[in-house]
This record gives sequence, C-alpha cells and structure tokens, in this order.
Amino acid sequence: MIIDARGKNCPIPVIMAKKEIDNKSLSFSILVDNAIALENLKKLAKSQGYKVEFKGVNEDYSVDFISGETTNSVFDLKESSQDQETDLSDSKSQWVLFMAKDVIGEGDPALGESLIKMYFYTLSQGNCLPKAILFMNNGVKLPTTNPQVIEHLRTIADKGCEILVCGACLDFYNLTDQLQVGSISNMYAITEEINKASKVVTL
Amino acid sequence: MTYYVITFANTHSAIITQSHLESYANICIMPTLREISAGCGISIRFSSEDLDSIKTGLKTLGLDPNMYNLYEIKEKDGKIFPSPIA
Repeated sequence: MIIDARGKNCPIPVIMAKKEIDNKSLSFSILVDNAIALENLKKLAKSQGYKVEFKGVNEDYSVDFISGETTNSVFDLKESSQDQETDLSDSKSQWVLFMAKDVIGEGDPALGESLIKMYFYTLSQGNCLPKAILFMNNGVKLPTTNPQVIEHLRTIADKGCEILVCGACLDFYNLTDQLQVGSISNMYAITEEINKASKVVTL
Repeated sequence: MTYYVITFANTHSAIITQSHLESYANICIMPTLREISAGCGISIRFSSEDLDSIKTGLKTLGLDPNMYNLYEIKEKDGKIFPSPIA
C-alpha cells in the first residue's frame, strides 16, 4: 500500500497515515515532499507503536510504516538517543507545560513579557522540569522571536525536556523558518502529551 | 560564578530600564533574588564585562538613583552571596 501525500501541507500527510493505522494496516508507505511532514510522520509512528524506515532524495521522502517490528534505519542512532532522553524525563516528572500565549496572564503586555522571561529563567535554573513544553497559537512566538526565552529553552531542552511547537501556528505567523529551539509538531502529538500528563500547567 | 543584577524600587522602573538597557548590553530579566530583601520582583542580570556599559545606560536614562540598586552576585556551592556596589 502506497499513499501519495506529496503536495499536501501539514497536517494532511499525518491524517492520511493515521487513517491507514486506524484501518489496522500492518505496513504501508507514504510519499511526502517536505521535512516537516517527515518529522511529523516519525512522531506519529513512534506514538502508534510503528517502526519507521525512510529514504529520500532532496525533500522527497518515502516513509515506510511497519507495525511493531525492528528497523535498521540509518537514523536509528539519533532516534535511540532521543528515546533515552524522553525516558530520562519520564522518570523525573509527568507534567507538561502548555503555552498558548507569549506572555503570562492578561494585562499590560510589557509586564506580561517580563513575567514570561522570569518564569523561563526560574524554570531553567531548577530541577523540577516538565516532561514537555507545548507551544501553540501566540505561544510559538517564544521559541522563535524571544532571544532570552530561547536561551532558557535551550538549557531546559538540554536537561531532557521535549519542546513541541505547533507547525500550523508557525506557518500562520510566518515563523516556520525562525524556530530556534524544539521541534515542529502537530495536534496529534500535542494532544497525546496533554492526555498522558499527570498535570497540565497553562500560564 | 559571578554576575551582576539591578534591583528596582518598583515594577515600572524595572520595565522602563529593561527596554532602555537592551541597546547597551546583553541583559537578562530575572526574578529578584530572595537573598536580596529590597526592591520589586523584577531584576536585570548582566555580566561583568558589561558593567561600564550598564552604568552609562543608567546615566543616560536619568532614572532617580534611589529607584534602583546594583549588586554583585557570587554563587558558590549552591549558595548566593549578593554584595551592593556603588
């Protein structure tokens, strides 16, 4: 089974793959023509218990989904190190931070921006980190255009926290090529993080 | 580790100073250290090489010197030692 999702923007390729998974397909291939779709498909595969193999020339990728089997992808090394980081943070905490704004609270924007900078400063200094930080809507402006917050997010990410940034939101605000930290994600992965978390904090 | 912070008598002074000093040095906004009792909750952190630029920036802003304090912060073994500087 080969699904052609070339020319389709996020999140259509993920939705097409998810449909195939929902149909209990044990293995299938999906063709995409951009790196964001590839990353999102890899995340989908991981979350659904599928192994993924892919080959690509330039930005054209053929992504093979294989249900629950081992794989010998050339990216195995990178993938497994990411898994270890996630496992590490799993053992530390199960809470996630959901950021849908680029300030803290309502009110004066300058105060709100100072507060958000101070929050991430304080978070980066401590050891009680969330398992993941999820950026959506105006929140995506933080890992793209706020230098101080970007620096703190790098520190936080280095300690094993996963930083997921809504791809549709980045696209809406024309910020996709300005992402400085974290990875471009989608509603599936973000919803899953929220569902799995023992506590979701929104500022 | 040694760094410097400016604390403020009120939040408005902190926010005005923050936007002014951004063109003078690489600054970082942080919560006022609990070890420093005076001042409002917002502080500005910077490194020693920017001390002169920050002092120049504070002068050009013309903020009343009573509205802020400068501290040198030394961190050792997880403890924080602030000392006021002129």
